[in-house]
Amino acid sequence: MRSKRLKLEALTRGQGAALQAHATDWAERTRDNTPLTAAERREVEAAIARCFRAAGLPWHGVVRWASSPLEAELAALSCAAKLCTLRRSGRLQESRLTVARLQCVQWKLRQQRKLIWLRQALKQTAQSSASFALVGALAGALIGLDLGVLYGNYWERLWALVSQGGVLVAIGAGVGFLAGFVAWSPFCAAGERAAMWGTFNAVAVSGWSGLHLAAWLAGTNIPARAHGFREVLATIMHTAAAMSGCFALPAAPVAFIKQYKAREIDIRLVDDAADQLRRAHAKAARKVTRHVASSVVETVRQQLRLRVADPREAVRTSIARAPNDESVRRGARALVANIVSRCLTGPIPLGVGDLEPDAYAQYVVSQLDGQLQGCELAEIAFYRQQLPALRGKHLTLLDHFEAANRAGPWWAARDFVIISERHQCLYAQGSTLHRADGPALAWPGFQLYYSHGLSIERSIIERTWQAAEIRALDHVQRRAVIEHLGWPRYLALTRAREIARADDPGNPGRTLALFEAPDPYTQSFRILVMINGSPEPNGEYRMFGEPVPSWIQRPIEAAAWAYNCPEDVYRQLHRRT
Amino acid sequence: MKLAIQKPEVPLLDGPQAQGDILILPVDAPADLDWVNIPPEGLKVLLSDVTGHHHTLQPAPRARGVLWAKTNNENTLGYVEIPAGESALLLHSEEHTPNGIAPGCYALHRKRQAPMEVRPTRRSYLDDWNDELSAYVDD
Repeated sequence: MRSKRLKLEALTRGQGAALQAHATDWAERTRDNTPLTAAERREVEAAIARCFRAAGLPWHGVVRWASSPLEAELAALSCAAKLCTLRRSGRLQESRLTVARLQCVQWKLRQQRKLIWLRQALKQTAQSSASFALVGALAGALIGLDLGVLYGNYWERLWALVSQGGVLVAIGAGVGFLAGFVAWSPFCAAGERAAMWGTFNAVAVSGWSGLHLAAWLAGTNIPARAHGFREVLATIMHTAAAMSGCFALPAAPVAFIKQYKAREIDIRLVDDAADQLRRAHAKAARKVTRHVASSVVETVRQQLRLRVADPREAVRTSIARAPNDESVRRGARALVANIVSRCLTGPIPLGVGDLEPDAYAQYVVSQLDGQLQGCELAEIAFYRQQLPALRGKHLTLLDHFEAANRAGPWWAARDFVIISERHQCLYAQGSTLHRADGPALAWPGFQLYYSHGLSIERSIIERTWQAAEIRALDHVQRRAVIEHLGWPRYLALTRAREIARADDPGNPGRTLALFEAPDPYTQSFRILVMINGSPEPNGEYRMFGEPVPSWIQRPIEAAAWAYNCPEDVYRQLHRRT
Repeated sequence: MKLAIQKPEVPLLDGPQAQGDILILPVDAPADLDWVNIPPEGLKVLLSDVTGHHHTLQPAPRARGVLWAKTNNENTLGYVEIPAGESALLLHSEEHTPNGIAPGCYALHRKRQAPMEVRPTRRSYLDDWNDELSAYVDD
């Protein structure tokens, strides 16, 4: 009853205004670049510790600060690899408590994996048993036919054989079928369909050949006298079948061992700290979002995504190809030395991992993005603000996460936590990162350049371009540079000829200008330069250019062509925003 | 977004007007169109892949009869019909201020650009190959 009453079904006008204010507030918080004080740092560290405990992770207390996310990521990679190597070589002594915890984790993981393996095997068996039955029936019919044709009195002879050397024959047949079955079952579990068909044949052949091998060892062949073509052929066939059984027998254990080893690869232990943290947060967040209608969720997300820039997303997408200079590497090395020495002397190194050190480090860092996007936190904060009657332990956890994310992105592992400092600057228009004269997002030694939300190379921005240099670029690079400079500046640089200029009917007080295409381009198009109808967030009116066909002579004709309407209609344009 | 509707300075116009990449042009609607009602929460008519900005047609509160017909034409996004006594707004997610649309039938045109050709700076080896081939044929 209570939860039903507590539901945000639709946003009222007041709540809409609150959402706008909330978005502005969060945009401001995201842009905030004042360095944290010592007390605030301690708070962030304490919040991270509480997040760890709430997510059911043991807290190690190894927290270090990196000056940039790049330094943090490099340090995290090296730390994970180094600690993994030390642990494998036995130099990292784990405390008894840790070992017990570790074994518990290992046991749990193994049980989980075993269950999954078993479930898969059963599913596969059920799926394929129908087709096996069909093929079995077919094979049985064929063998029966073959025998019926070859030996009219086959069953009589077989009975004679069984009554003479009964036990041996029974053992032979049993061993043969068993060997075939052993070879078949792991393939079935692995779900390799092609291999299963092959192994099914092996079952039939090895069972059959086991029977004949036993008969051959007992000194009796089923065809009593080998004379005539059919009997000779039958003898050859059965000898071959017996031989194939000899091959099938050693193949079975080999196949089983291979399969068993393949299963073992799945049981690998990796650092799941970031994953656990993320899950704990998602669980708590779901408990809040449950009280919000999906249409409201969509509106809130959309509004926040438009208004709040997300530096974490920018870091995530560009950190892999960011160049790192010596100062960053030096900082990272110092961090690694510090953390590793702490783990060697300290009481509880906790990490798990039996992958190769490099693979382990890659895994840890890929998981490390345990932090949440700015918008996610803002979204949950808004719901909580609008639903003050919510109660529960999960809200405390959400508080911890909010406090933990007050600094830069943080990298969480079972052995260590590395927190990055806040960015030095963040330039954004709404949520789109943009800066024309420098990095849009910067830390010491790590800068990200953005032009209207598009990630661009540093060289494009930090250089004073000459017309000749732009001309020498290839097509794609030239487009990027012109995009950055804007057509008006590029036209001025290349001293392009102005063909005509006219007042803009849709935008009183502004003019439209038509230019010839500048140098590296052919005269197949012209550039219409106009001024935006609405101001930018900084109050300026943006000037921009667009290509129009070269047969156009007048600026208004060009504007009308772009909008695909007659020139007279554009002259009557009431308003352009 | 809903706040924008309350703003008094958006004039309702029945003539041609433009918002960024879109021109609102009064026309007589073609006969064979599939008209649909625009829902009260609005309809996204143009979405930019690069910037994520979009233009939305938003009927005025209590305007239930605003119709929209999509076209497959590259330069015409579609047609909008606003019955007498009702109105609609064209909103932009980021930079442009809203445009008010008075009763009538309009086509929504999308801005187009001419292709840009670059003067070839150097002969490609396809040309060399063509020359070689023609020389061979001439012999």
